[in-house]
Amino acid sequence: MSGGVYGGDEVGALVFDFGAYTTRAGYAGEDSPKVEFPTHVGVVEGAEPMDTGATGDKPQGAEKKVYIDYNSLFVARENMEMTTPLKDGMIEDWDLFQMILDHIYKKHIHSEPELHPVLMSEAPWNVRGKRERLTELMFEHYNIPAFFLSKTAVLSAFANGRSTGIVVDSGATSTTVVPVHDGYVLQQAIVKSPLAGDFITMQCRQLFQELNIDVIPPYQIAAKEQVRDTAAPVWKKKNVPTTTKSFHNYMVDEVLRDFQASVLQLSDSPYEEQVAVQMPTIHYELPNGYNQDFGSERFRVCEALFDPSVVKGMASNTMLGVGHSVTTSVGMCDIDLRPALYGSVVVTGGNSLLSGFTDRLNKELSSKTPPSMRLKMIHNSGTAERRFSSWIGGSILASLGTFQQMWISKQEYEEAGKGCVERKCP
Amino acid sequence: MASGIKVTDEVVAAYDEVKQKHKYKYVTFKVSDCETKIIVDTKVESSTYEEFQSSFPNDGARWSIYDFDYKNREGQDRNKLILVSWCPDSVKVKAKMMHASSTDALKKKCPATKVQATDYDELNFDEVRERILTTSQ
Repeated sequence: MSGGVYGGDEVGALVFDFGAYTTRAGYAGEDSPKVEFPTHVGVVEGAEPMDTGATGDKPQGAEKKVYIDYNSLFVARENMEMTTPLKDGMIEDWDLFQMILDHIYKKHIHSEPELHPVLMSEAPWNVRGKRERLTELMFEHYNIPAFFLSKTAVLSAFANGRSTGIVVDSGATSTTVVPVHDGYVLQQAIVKSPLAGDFITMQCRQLFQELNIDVIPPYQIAAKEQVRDTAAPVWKKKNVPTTTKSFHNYMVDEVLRDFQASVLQLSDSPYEEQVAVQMPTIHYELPNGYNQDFGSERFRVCEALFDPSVVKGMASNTMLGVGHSVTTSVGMCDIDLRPALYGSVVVTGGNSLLSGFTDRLNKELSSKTPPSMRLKMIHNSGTAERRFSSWIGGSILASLGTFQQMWISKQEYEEAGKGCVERKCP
Repeated sequence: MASGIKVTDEVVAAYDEVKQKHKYKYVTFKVSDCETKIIVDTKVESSTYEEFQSSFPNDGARWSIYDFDYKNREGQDRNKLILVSWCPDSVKVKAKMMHASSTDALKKKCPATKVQATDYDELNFDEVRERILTTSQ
């Protein structure tokens, strides 16, 4: 905690930020989250594994076992299905959600929940029922002293010094465009599009299918040998239990996500084959040793983010490209507000780190911004700042001395009930 | 959502001195060093727009209430208060956060047409005028 002004005798607040891909948690006032791990969890339904069955320390029967965090999640296990507690950015499976919270408290925070106020981020379109249920859970089950719920888009806008602006958050499952005015989300003008990280991962998968390349995730590989460019890979299969399809797919996606981050690039103008083939190639080696240069594919695969019509075999006209999403959202806002929104386009989210993303968005928007308005894009160049912007925003907010009066205190909750979240955290 | 940072009476008084009494051309505000309230930074009695524009620091977030003189589309003289929210990119993220999350509280106490800027270019006279013309007529 820089400055040392905050708190004095107060115990640090905690900040939780649940994303579609990873969950971030840590102490308020710090620069980056203490821990980040996949929001996905592994669930083994049914009987206990044989070796622990006899010891009797676990109840027998249809108990389910849940694996959280990299170390236990990325181990190949029989019958382990990958699942997520979130759906459309909102909490869907409360049991799993609670297990993740338990895990964070026990393994990473190493402290008692009742000591720390909690600031949690939420999807800007979160619904009242879920907000109240979450408030109830935090106060009743975890017995926390104070709570606050804050919308991700507002935190991102604030962390970039803007109280009014349009937040383009390109994450794993969706790219969302959220207008923020004076610190409040304009709900009716939110635009969501599935053209985001997971979609590109799917495109990569198709690319490898077309190229006839098997993507073998590291967990199946015991040993590999160096091979020449495009030569057949030489590798030994590791002896692992048969895994479920969802686990295998997740592991393949992990490889593809790395490929995405290292190889793909958005061209700065609409994709053209002739231009793309002249661009430098990038060499990439898959976990099993297969390696080759990637040329025009680098640009082709992610073009769909901005131009959904290039996707094969999909009703692409139903989806909005990123640039189009922004103009649509601005178009739904009051005409008085539009200059201010175009004047502060805040870009955030892990998928926006794709090379060339911001340049391309800038180019698309400049051609669509009315001539009387100035376009200004705000994007932090740091990887962490872009991926964690809402966590960082929450971290600073919760650490401000003056923020103490904003929390929903336990006393307030007990007097007013869970409904107070709507009033205190609009 | 707000930071809870207080707008001091001195800020509101300075606002009135620009708005009602026309004693100052512009006043600027900032978050105090103790990070709990918004205080008056400078009060300037007369200044051209260019001087005002270049008065913002490169390394700090500020707000300013400026008595903006312009001609409307019919060429008549008008003036309007603008609230400039100045937050350059080079400012630390904590200062940005405090600044942005307190702007709404300030705007409620000191109503004016809000102009957000991160560099001097964004405070271009013609653009600010255009902004006022589109939002107030």
